[in-house]
Amino acid sequence: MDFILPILIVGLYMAWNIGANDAANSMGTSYGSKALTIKQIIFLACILEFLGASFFGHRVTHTIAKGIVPIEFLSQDIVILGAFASILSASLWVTIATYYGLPVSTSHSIVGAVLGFGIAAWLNGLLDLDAIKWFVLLRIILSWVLSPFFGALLGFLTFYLIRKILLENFDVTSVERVFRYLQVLSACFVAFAHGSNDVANAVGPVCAAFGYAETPPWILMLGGLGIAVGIATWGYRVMEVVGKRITELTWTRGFSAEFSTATTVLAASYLGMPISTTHTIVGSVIGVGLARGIASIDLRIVGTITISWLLTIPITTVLTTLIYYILIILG
Amino acid sequence: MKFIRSVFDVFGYSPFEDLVKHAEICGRAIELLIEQFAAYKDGKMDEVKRIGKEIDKVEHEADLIKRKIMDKTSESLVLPVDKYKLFNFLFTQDVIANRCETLAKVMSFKKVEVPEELWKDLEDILKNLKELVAMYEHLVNHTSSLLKTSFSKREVEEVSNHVSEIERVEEKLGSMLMRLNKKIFDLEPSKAILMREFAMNLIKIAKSVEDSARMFKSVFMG
Repeated sequence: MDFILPILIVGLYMAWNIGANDAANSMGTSYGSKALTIKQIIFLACILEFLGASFFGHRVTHTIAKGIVPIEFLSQDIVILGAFASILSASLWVTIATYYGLPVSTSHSIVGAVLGFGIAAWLNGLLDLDAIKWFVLLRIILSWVLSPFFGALLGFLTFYLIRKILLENFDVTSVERVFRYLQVLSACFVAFAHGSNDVANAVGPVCAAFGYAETPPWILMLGGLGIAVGIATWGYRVMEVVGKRITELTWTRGFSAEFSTATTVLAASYLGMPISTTHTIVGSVIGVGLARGIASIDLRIVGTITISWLLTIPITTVLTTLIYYILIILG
Repeated sequence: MKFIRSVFDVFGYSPFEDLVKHAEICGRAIELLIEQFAAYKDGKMDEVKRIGKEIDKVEHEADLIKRKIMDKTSESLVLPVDKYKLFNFLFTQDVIANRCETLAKVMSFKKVEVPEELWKDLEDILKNLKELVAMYEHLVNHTSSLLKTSFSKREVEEVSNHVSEIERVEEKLGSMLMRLNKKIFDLEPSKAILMREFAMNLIKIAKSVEDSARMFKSVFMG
């Protein structure tokens, strides 16, 4: 059980990472449209991400911890080793990607890493390849394709309806004023949904290492706390940069993007699918854009995101396998 | 280490604000041209040359904005309007500043003495041109509300009405300039050549404003 403390530390680092970067990505539209100030966003995000993680995070955590690799067939020491290797490789990949400004998904990273652990266990002769729940993996991969799609569809429909029903029939300024308040609500919604879905990336393997059949509230709270600390310490800087990049974003557009992202993410959390919040928001923004709501969308960046998305799984899978073997060799 | 992993680069460069700025600069070039005519009429040739240089600068400024829009509106950008129509609109609008620059140069050639009646006609034409420019700037200022309402029917109708108004004023200007042309041919040849040059360039400027207004309508109304 020598790895318990390092696992907790790496898990907290992952949670910090999620708070520092992903929360800003999820709520950047609120700052971009000036619905909220940075301080207000940080305050709301800390509280709601923590609540989302603590009260709604258990379903996804269960999928990540046990859904892909049948840890019940492995000894506790191997599970601890695998959990450590998984969180470390996912965290390393997120750090490397962040350094190069690539918006990779923490959800993709951790799923790839857990898969790498399963492959390492198979290579080690501890597990049959058939024992890895490829079906669960397929479901998760499918959800990554579907989440930006549903984000885009909901974003399109939400903004299309706002345009047809409100913007075309009422004074634009009055409509926008109402949506300023609605965007504050949607920002809260997105923070809650993000916390509930993404806490699993930090605490899923930790939970497996501790051998818990059900995720205990204290682990979820610890993850939520890590996310909140990430937002409070680094989210401020990220938000400032992100907010300045978004121009010409009105409250109706910000609301449409946030509402569709939060709805998709929360629905995925409910179904136990660790989807990517960052890719859902990209989908939602594109959806609002397709409804002629956004002045300009750069497809080159969408391409870069898709490539980093495709690279994440193989890289974290290989990295986890390597770290696992290095740890075995080091004894 | 910047430690930022942002997805918000998906919001690409938006050319619309720069397009409005470009339109304002073209409008400024016409305003300067009207000032230059007043100085020309009073025989203040130094002032004519000074304003001419100012028009040069304004035209250069318009060129820089045009280049910025073209450089930054890359292939990968998805805009809510047709990108190539937008470029065509930009080129048409840019012609306004170019023509002002040409006329400003012609005006600095030499001062000609013509009957007061002709100046009076020219002043009337310039007054209408000023009105045309104000209407055009008002039209282009619709860009922001068109984008905000995502091209709502009401906004599109307003744009359509504005374009019709611009067409009406341009037509009126065309007739005024044709009447002026007739009077110009009564002048002695050297004076007639220069005055006709003025008249023809003014017609071209007014036509460019009307073309730009039509292109604007085509960009946003499909």
